[in-house]
Order: sequence, then C-alpha cells, then structure tokens
Amino acid sequence: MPLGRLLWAAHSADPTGWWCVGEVDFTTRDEWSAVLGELPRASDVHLDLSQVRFIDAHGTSLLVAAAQDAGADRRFVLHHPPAAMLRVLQQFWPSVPTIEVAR
Amino acid sequence: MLATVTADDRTEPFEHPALFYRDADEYLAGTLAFIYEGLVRDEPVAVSVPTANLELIRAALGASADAVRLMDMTVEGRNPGRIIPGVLRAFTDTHPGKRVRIVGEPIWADRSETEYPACAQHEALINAAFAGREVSILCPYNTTELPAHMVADAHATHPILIDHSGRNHSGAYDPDSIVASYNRPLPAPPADAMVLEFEANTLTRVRHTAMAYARDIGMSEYRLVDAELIIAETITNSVVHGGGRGTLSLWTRDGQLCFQVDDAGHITNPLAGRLPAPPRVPGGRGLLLVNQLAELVRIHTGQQGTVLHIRQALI
Repeated sequence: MPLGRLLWAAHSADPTGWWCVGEVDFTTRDEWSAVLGELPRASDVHLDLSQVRFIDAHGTSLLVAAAQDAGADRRFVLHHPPAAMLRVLQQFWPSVPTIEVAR
Repeated sequence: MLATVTADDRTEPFEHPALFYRDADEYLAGTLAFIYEGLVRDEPVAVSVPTANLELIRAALGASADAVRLMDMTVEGRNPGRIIPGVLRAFTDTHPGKRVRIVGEPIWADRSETEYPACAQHEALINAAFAGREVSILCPYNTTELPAHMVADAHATHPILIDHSGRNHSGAYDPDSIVASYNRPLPAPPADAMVLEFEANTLTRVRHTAMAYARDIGMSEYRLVDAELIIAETITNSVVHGGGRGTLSLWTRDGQLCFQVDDAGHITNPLAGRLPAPPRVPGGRGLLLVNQLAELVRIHTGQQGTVLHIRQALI
C-alpha cells in the first residue's frame, strides 16, 4: 500500500512480515509507525528493508520499541537494513535480544 | 586564593580535580597515583588521554595496564560533545554500584581555536553531568604547552586543583560562567557555501541535495552514512524544536565537511545531546547521535535562535 510519497510497504506471506520501499524520516514517521503497528503476530516477523535507502534515529527507535514490546518469545528479523539503521543500532542498542539482522 | 582541602569537607561524592603538570615526570606522578589508588581500592579505572600521553601511561603501568581501560582521547573524544556520553558515561555505566575513576585529558596543545570553546564547555558541564555520582575524573593540563587562558579556564571548571605543590580548592570555580562565556556567535558560512532553506515538506529533498554535495566532494561511503544521519537529525530538530524551518549551509575546509544549521530555536538545557538516552524510550536522540558521529559540534544558542556548526571528516 502507498504510504505517502516516500514510503511504501506491502505484506509478505512467506516469510511473514512486511516488504518496505523508500525512506524513513520525519516526513514518513507516521507511516512507519503504522507499519510497525500492524506487524503480524507470528513468532518470527520478517522486515525486508533491502529497498529502504535511509532510516533516521527516530525511525530506528520506533522499531526497537516495537521489538522490545513484542515479548521475549518473538523474533524480529531485519533483512538488509540500510547502513544508517545499523549505525544507529550500533550506537544505542548494540544488542536487542529480539532483533536479528540478516544480510 | 587557594585553601587547603581536608577530608572533612568532602560531602559531594563526585570528584573533578585538574592536574597541572609541567613535564612527563609530573604527569606520571599525578596520573599514576590516581590510577594506583583506584586499583588498590578495586575501583574500575579508565584512562582517556592524547596518544603520546597514553603511551607514557601504558609503559609506566607495565603489567598493570591490563587492569585499566586505555583509550585515545584524540579518537574517542575528538568531538568534545561526545566525551560525556561516549567516553565517561559509557565507562561508568558499565560498572553500576561501584565507584569509578577516570583520567580524562580533553585539551591538548594541537586543539584548534575552533575546537577549544567546545572543550572548555565540556569541562564545565562534567560537573553538572556527574553531580551526586560516585565518580572521580582527573583532568591533566599541560601548563608548559597550553596558553594561559586555557589554564585559567581550568580553574573555573574544576573545584579542586592539583599541582607539584599539592591539592587545593579552586577559588575561581564557576563552571556556569564558562558555559555562558563560550556560547559565542559563530562565523558566517563562507561565500562558497551551498545554502539550502528547509521546512517540514522540503526536509527530504534538502537532505538529498546535501548528500549529492557530500558525494561530489569525494566523501567516503562510510562517512556518507554518518553525514546523512547528522543532516537528518539536525534539520529535523529545527523543524520540530526550532520554529519549523531553518537554513542548512555546507562547505569544505581542511579535509572536513562543514555543516551549519540556523534556526529560531533556543536550546535551554546545556546538557542536551550529552547524556545517554534511556534505552526503552523512543526519540530524543538526535543531538546525542550528532555528538557521537561528528568530529566537532559547536553551538551558539539564545533567544535570538540557534546556530549549530558541525565538522565531519571526508575520508
């Protein structure tokens, strides 16, 4: 579904999760929150971020908050997240048990 | 006017003495006494000092060096705004419940005139950042090499002064005056700067234009990632906290990309961007991230607005 001019997201069935395209900054913050608010309730949630060029610190913090709130028995798998997100995770959340980065 | 310190008047658990040294012998005498006292008391000890002094301490410690966290301040603390969150709190926070001691030398002779005001403000803000905490931070000052005004500022930023004659209270201790007096207007961007006006609906386009500029001047892929975050966080802060709009200027000098962001905001908390954010709270990390990634952050802020001057290595 189109989420404004700069961020698009589509459900993916296999693996279960979202496929996103675009950028996450101040202008797409609400749309990104909406994506994270509609994550499937599966034990493993996959986010294909290979087509997301940039995510700012707030965008990464929203993802971390979603992962922290999800419960210890669930796993968030980030596929090819943008370098900016990895830099922010390294600075502020070097190890979140429920987040796994797949490259 | 110096008064002798006795053990009885120590009610504040945080200690922040300056160590004035004239040569390597005085440097080692002062720093090693501080380090060994910590090791004997089983306190975690870190040393973050310029490269040559780090090697002096490492060699003098010998086998004891393994028990001390040794960091190069010219790397870890290149940006003075990074030292509190990225060096001092980063170390103290890994030892909760224990008294911690750190040798921190943020000011050395090669610090530029552009960097120095941020260094002095950093030294002043350590006092507010660590008040009430079980921490000792010893700050060496090379009185042979540093200009007199920097040594004079150290009297205002440190409540205790140590030199070859002993340990004394500073009669000139007044850290708030240093924070205020170095909150100075910054030079206007040069005539060759790229100047971009932005507001909420042009934030993304302005970031893209700025990144095209950074790529064109040959910034490495690694630095481009940092630069894009720095630009995104600063211009977003202007839109959210700085009156909804601002001006981003970019230019290059001395192998660095220089950014300047002007907006109508007023940063009233001088510790903004210097304290670690609670891990479970989203947001509120913009200026902290900028401090962590940049080589220099200077701020001039007041009722008239805020100017951020940021420098980042190209390679």
